[in-house]
Amino acid sequence: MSEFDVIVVGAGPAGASAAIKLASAKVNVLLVDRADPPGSKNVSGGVLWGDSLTQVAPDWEKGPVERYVEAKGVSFLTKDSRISLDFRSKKFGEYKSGYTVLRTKFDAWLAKKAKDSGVMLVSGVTVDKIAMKDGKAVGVEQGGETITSDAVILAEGANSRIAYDSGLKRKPTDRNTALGVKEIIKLPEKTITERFGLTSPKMGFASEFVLGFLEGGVRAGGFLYTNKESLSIGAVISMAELRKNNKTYSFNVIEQFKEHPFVAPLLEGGRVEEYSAHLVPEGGISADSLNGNGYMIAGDAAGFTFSNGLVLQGMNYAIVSGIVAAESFLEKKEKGIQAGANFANYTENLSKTFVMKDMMNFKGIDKLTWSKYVHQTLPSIAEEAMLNMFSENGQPKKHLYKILTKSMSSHEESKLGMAMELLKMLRRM
Amino acid sequence: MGLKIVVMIKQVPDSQEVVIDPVTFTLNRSAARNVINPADENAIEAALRIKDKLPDTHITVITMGPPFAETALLDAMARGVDDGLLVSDRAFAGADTYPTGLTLAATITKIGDVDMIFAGEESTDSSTGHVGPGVAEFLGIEQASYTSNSWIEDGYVYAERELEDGIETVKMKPPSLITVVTNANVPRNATLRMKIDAIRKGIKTWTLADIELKPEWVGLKGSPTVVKSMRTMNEKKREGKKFKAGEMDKFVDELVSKGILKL
Amino acid sequence: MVGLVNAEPPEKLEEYKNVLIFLETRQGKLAKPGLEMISVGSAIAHKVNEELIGVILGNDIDDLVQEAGEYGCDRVIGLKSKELKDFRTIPYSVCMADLIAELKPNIALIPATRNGRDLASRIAVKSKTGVTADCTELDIDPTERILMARRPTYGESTLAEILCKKHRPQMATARPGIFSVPEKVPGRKFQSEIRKTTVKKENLKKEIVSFKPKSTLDLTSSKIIVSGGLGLGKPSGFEMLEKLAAEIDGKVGASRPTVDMGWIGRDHQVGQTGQSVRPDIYFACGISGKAQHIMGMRLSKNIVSINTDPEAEINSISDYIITEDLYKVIPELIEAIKKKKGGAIAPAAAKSA
Ligand SMILES: Cc1cc2nc3c(=O)[nH]c(=O)nc-3n(C[C@H](O)[C@H](O)[C@H](O)COP(=O)(O)OP(=O)(O)OC[C@H]3O[C@@H](n4cnc5c(N)ncnc54)[C@H](O)[C@@H]3O)c2cc1C
Ligand SMILES: Cc1cc2nc3c(=O)[nH]c(=O)nc-3n(C[C@H](O)[C@H](O)[C@H](O)COP(=O)(O)OP(=O)(O)OC[C@H]3O[C@@H](n4cnc5c(N)ncnc54)[C@H](O)[C@@H]3O)c2cc1C
Ligand SMILES: Nc1ncnc2c1ncn2[C@@H]1O[C@H](COP(=O)(O)O)[C@@H](O)[C@H]1O
Repeated sequence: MSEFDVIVVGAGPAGASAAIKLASAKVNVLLVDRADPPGSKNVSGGVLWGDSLTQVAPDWEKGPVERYVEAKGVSFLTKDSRISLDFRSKKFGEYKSGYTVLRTKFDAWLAKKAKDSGVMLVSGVTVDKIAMKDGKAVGVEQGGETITSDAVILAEGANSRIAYDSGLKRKPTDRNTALGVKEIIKLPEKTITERFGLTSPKMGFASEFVLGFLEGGVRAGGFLYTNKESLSIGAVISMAELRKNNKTYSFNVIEQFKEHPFVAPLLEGGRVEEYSAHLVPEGGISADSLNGNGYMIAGDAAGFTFSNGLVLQGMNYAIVSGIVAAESFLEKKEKGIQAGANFANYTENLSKTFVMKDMMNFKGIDKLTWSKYVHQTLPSIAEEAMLNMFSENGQPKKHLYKILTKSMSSHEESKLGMAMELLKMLRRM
Repeated sequence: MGLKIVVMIKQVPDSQEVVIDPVTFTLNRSAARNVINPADENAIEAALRIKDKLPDTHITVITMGPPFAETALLDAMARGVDDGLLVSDRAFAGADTYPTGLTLAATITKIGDVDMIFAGEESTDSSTGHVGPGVAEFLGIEQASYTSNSWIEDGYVYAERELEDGIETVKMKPPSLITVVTNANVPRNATLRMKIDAIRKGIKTWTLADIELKPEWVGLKGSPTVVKSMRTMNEKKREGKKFKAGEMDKFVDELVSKGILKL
Repeated sequence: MVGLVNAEPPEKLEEYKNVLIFLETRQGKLAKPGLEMISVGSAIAHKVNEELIGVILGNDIDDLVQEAGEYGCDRVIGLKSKELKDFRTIPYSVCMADLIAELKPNIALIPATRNGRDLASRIAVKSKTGVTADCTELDIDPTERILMARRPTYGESTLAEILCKKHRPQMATARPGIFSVPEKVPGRKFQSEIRKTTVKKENLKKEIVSFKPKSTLDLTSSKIIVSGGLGLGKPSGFEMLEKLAAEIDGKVGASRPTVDMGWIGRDHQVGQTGQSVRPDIYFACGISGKAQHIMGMRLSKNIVSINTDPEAEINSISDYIITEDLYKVIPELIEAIKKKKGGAIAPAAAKSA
């Protein structure tokens, strides 16, 4: 007899969702997180997209959410300009956008939910590894002791030490990892609502930025989200980029971003309250197999992150994969589970959800979005074109097409090549 | 023969996470999580070291505090303490050091036959260092405060007190109370197994009725002192004038001309 | 032993008069924190036309009693006994509480040193009164004769005023290094009284087995402090700070982690768990300025921060900010000081020639 039915490692969105789902079905669950309280070391830019959490925590929108995203933007930054698409819609009522959240608060709340639904929650201990016996996961090991369970759900996040150490996952290469750095900047609620032109203090703004202007041509993406009384601002830099420009520390990138002439005013008067950095898996599924004998891997640990170098999404995938892992356990349990059973049904069940579909559809998109075209060429063409269009220099106005071709011809790339890239991008996004 | 030990602990906001607002100089404690008062962790460790030598020793960790102080007790139990006892009652709220000491002393009396009591040198949120000695006085027992080391030998308690001008070693008979300085030792970590066991075992809770004190003797009502007012400290405005490498002559001139440095 | 009873207010508050202070001794001498009680205690007593009564416990105390008078006590009481030679909690607290019961002081002040705090709380419980810990400001309301005891709380950012209206004496422990030591006036008039006492055997159960004195560094009275933090990067960094300190007649302080790592002795530590200092100038070299450190030095008259990080927290409370590598800038600073000194001496030398 195992001591627990399931041990869930990691109380992030993936682990907590799995644990709640299991406990609600009267399963005996142990949820372990290395941070105390759980989530106190977790980092996210901070938009929880969609409403998958409703399945395990129907009241979550009344929980510690910050603002509902009614304004969504994408901006390209050149040295002197900002070219933005700013989309605001009343229809974000019917079409679910997302809520900004602060992870320290949000994760602690979710973990408490898990505890209240009957999960045994242990925080402040780092699990060393999965305990394996005859090729089957039979529990977890910590401090030289084994705690047994019929199944293990590994939801340890992007920094998946256990998965590597247990040989469940290849060590990441520079190419498929990025570093996310983030600051929380305190500002009064009213200032935020006014400065971002929001319709109420409950409404928020979320924008991604292409940081094409960085020193030395470093390619990085930025984000800026509004919380109730703070802004989350951050940058995502691929490890390869960091390594190539070994002088450009992550710190420097976020500083340059913050000091951009059309970003700085948005932050004015704010005070940095928190600084954090975290790994981000890029380029989709990284686990060799999402399941095995006695275990399932969920959330970032499995590589369920959507990142195109601009948008970073993972919490929604983490939640769904956690819930599916729990359901897959319940399915097996109904049939009378054996310790160390194979959870192939998890991978199958997942493939029916948007998690896997997104992973497949957007495979490789990062290569494009990290490209020089997106970061430097396109923005500078656009900048030139806009300046031509929107400035008055005493010359007769030209047609847009002419402006564009003129701007483009001043770049080395062939028109055809550029058009191809544009097309590729549109098709993929 | 083992001993019966009580460790008194307090849950406080983590002072590592408490940040001072550089503008208003107020403390932002809201973000801070609650932890065991650092010196109390050393007190727990000091007690556990006695138990390491005398395995029949039984250690109870007690706290007077709100229900959520349970986590501090569980944390202590996970390190090897046998029992956790929460003394919690609305009536205890607002206590200064006198009724805090009285409440804890009444709890220890009720536990009965306690040989040794450990406390931290002071708490990071009240930082009086008065509660430990107060308890010893209520119980009428010997004490050694600010200790960095303590042990049992031939039925005596030995303790090394870290004083401003030297280290004093004292010897006393149990029952006695010891307060422990931060840095006295390195507190051990709890394992997952021990944390699980502690949660399964759970803590005990006593209320005012259990310790048989009058309601008007405890909490705010039983406190001789009252906080009349709080004001933020008058901060000197600091200019933050900048000097670079290569400008040290200029810098020294400035300090000397302002009379800050007299060479 | 008082037993498990509450703090009991006395019936006639007006019976309680005068300010009593505990004059702590260390190794047979009056200790500085005790002398500091004389300046603050007499200011309070004289404001309401009462007396300052100093109390000394020990064996060889005749000279100390004389000295305490010269420092400014209106009245000095010495309790003399072989058993009181060394500080021990129970005999000391019994003697003090008995004296308080006899003299009925309105206020009793004790230095917030380690032995002072060890003692104060027990006296308060015996006397069934309250005690405000670690005060940095003490004053009296002249009409009600209520002690206004102020102490920093919440990491020194706020000052709480704490009153003990109904219980007597109104007790406080006062933080060392905050109040000044008064000037000694030989021949000053005061009353004195040395009483021989005995201590009951049952109160002498604790034995002092040994005492290993350690040389202590008192930073609280230095006018110039050069402090180093983890930014020094290595223990030898303190040698450079010693050089700077020597040049300007200052003392060397340290942040706690450097002490924990054994780079420098614990008596150099400044901060919440170290010494509280308020020099004319405090050089923070490679110190980030975490709350616990700032607590111990933010009352410094001038603060200089030398730190590579322009955002270091210490900068927000600094008068001078030098955003540079300390290994680059401190040698330069030492040179600049030497040069300045040379320059200052030259004209003087010229004159005398
Ligand atoms: C800068 C940045 C910005 C982002 N922005 C967004 C965004 O706006 N929207 C979005 O949806 N996603 C965003 N993401 C991605 C998102 O944060 C992750 O996809 C999501 O947190 C994954 O959830 P998880 O539960 O799998 O892992 P995590 O949230 O990383 O949780 C893992 C948990 O496991 C614990 N743990 C790890 N190892 C152990 C161990 N050995 N023993 C015990 N416990 C362990 C950790 O303490 C942690 O609590 C962002 C990420 C970064 C870095
Ligand atoms: C209960 C408790 C009590 C405590 N009590 C105290 C106390 O009494 N006193 C105390 O000090 N701390 C105390 N602390 C610890 C405190 O929280 C901080 O950890 C500590 O003050 C940090 O020390 P630091 O500034 O030396 O190190 P760090 O925080 O590591 O800062 C080092 C600084 O050096 C700078 N630097 C690095 N290299 C260079 C260079 N070459 N040139 C110039 N600058 C450089 C860095 O930018 C950084 O700002 C206590 C903590 C707790 C929990
Ligand atoms: N409410 C409490 N419950 C248990 N122990 C306490 C409590 N308050 C203080 N103590 C103990 O007394 C010590 C000194 O606290 P303080 O006098 O508040 O500085 C602490 O380190 C604890 O060991």
